[in-house]
Amino acid sequence: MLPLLIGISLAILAVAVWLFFRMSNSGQFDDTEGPARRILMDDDRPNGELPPIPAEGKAAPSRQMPSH
Amino acid sequence: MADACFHCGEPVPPHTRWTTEIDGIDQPMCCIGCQSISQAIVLAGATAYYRQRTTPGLDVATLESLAPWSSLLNDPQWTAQHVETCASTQDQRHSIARTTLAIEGLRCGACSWLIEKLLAKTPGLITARANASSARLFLEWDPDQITLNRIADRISAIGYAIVPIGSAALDTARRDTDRVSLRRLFVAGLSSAQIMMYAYPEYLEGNTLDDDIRALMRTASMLITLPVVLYSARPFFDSAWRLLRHRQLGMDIPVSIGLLIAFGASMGAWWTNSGEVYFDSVSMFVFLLLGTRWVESRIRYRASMQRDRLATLPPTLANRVAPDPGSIPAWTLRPGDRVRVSSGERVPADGILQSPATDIDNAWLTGESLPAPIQAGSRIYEGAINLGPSIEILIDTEVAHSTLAKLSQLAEQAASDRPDWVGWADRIGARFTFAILVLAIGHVSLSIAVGVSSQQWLPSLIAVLVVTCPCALSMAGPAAYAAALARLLESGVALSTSRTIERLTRVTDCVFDKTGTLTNPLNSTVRMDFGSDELWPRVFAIARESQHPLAIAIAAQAQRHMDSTHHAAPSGSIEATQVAGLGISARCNGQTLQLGALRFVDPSGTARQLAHDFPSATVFLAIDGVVTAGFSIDDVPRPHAQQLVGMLHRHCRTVWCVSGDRKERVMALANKVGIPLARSRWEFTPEEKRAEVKQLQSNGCVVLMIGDGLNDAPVLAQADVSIAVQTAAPLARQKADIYLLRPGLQGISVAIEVCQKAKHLLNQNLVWALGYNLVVIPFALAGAISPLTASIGMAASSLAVVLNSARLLR
Repeated sequence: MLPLLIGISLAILAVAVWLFFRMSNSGQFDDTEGPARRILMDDDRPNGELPPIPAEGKAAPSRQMPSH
Repeated sequence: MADACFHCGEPVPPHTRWTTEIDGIDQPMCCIGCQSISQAIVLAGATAYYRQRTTPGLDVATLESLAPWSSLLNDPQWTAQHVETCASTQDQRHSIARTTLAIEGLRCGACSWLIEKLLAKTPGLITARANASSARLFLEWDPDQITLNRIADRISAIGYAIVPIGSAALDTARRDTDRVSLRRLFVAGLSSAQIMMYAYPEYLEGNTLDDDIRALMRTASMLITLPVVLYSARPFFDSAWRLLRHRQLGMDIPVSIGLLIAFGASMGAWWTNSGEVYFDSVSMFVFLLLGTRWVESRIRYRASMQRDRLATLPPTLANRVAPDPGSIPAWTLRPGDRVRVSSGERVPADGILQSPATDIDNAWLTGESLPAPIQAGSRIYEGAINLGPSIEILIDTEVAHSTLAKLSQLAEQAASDRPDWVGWADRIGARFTFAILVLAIGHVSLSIAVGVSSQQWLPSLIAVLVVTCPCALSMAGPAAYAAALARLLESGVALSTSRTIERLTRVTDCVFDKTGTLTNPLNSTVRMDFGSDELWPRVFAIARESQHPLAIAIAAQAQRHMDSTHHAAPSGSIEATQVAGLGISARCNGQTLQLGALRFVDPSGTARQLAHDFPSATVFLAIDGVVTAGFSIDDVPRPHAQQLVGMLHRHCRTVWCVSGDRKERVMALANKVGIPLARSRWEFTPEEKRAEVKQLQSNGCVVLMIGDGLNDAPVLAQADVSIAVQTAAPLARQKADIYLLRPGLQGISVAIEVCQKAKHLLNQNLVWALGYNLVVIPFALAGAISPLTASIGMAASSLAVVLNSARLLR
């Protein structure tokens, strides 16, 4: 009985390591901060319209832009 | 105290009224740029960003200075190196392009959410993944539907700047190392948790345990310790081997010896099924040691990612005169272009000098800081700084190629650059290691001589090797320095070497330059002393043609005036010529406009009486030779200047102001910011400034110099520590130990505070690490500490040091 249990525990360990390596390969642990925060963010208008793409070359905000 | 801008946290200039309604409240904005960014964010329905973010947004000045980088995305050479294009897997007719960009301003999870959200519904964009810890954005798009530039425009509209990644290979390599070290840590952690299951029966029932069961448990322990020793502990063995090959000592040597002895002895005991096994200690030791190093590497990672982005300082802009005059990023220059380099500016690319002789500073290339004269027709190299009047250069190299090469070179340099604290750790580690090895050998030989059985001395030998591991000691310095560096970079303060931290804490005297450092010409109050308000649009048209600080100040005031009266700038083209040190003249709508000193706009002296009537006026406007307006410009100290001087006084620093400006102006400003008149100097030449600092130093003072201008370079080099403000001239920036990456003076007080804290933490770390090692050695020698307790104690002491340093990051 005992050898079987120990065998099972070793097999579970092997599976855990294999899973972790797979997740690490797919980049799951590259960013440990963003996703944790992301679930706290909610959209003001979940189906709202997107703002238009600014005209080419006019996008960069500038201090010198006239306000009128 | 002025309000802080809700978006970027910069002070809001007085008499402005920019606001954005966020969650029903009108929030103050410091400029039209922040206003439009925040409006774009509100319009996208992403106000959650403001509720969740942990750092303020990027200020518009930084954004503007980095904006030209995005034009690199058009460059065919950049595209060839950084964009990977392949056919779509679903539809062979479409192709997919992929790239990774570095995003300045991407600092927290809220930022990555915001960027991803805004890009999510862009037609043609397939994937956008923003990573806040590395400040990278991964993009996949359909090049037939959208260009990378359009995507970049969206990103800059919400207040982020795109900066090129110096070396993509380096980026990938760093990510892979990171993944591998996390895996090693995971394997060791899982093993040490599981191994307790197998070791527990033996601890509880040591003598009554059935032999078969014990053998089984030990076999299981051995099986899960193997990957720990063979895989997780590899970095220790590799590093120990490298040290031995170079005949050096370091802390990884006793660590490796301890591991090998413990593992070897356990294998022997397992094979004979007698004696003690230390598999649990081995796993635990490796796990805790890796854990500590991982925490430390996270701190260093933060510092290094920031350092990397330093390679992407604002790009060099070139002032092209032919063909197609305009200010363009240096890499878009082509051979045959002619560029103008004003006094004090950096040469944007290699070329041939077309103007008569000038003096240049080649320190960037040769390290020689004396001005070098060069003649017309001779070659002048990129990075040289023009010290004479404006010159023209004929470009004769393909610039894009060398810019790209230089970027990757800079990034690789920054990565391979061993921070100077590493030497510190190695030295301490080596000395301590030597002592431990002597101690261990002495202990074993004494035990054998006295006739103690190996059953008794083996555990205490392992305990000694493990417990005395100088990890904590050799981490004391690096951890504190790395944390300080990361913290400073996040506050927009870049240090040239970590030695600066120590020197900054010893500073006794702080010397400020005035114009551009204590004051910001852009925020000066400009008054029209005489003349009519209708002139403002024309003043604006001519003033914006010049980059002189006073012209910028006047243009800003003219703009404010036009905004409030709804006037527009005169249309039509303008041809301006600038006369260095005097002023600017231009033709606009058939009129000749002149703006500058009185002797420039009125050479005949017919309007001399005006100078008497309006003594404060310093800049005059003449239309068709008739002086029609006069302006006075008041220095306004930078918003934080007074607090900074106050803080320095509280910290018992002597504060000086040294300026080349006129007496009354220096005295007025010194009064405003709280610098005593006795310690204000005026009408000083650069050489006199340097002499003044030298004089202070000969009296035993440690001098901190804060400056910005071209003429501050000698005094910055003379001072013990020097700080260049964000707007500093390239030469000043190059000579300074500390360079502020954000506008304003806040960075200086942050630098002083953080450095002081870092030194305090370093001392705490040293006392703790040394004390711990000295106290436990006798116990370990006496055999009072088991190998398992020893590994926990060792890791706890190192972790204490690292966590203590990490306090700086909060």
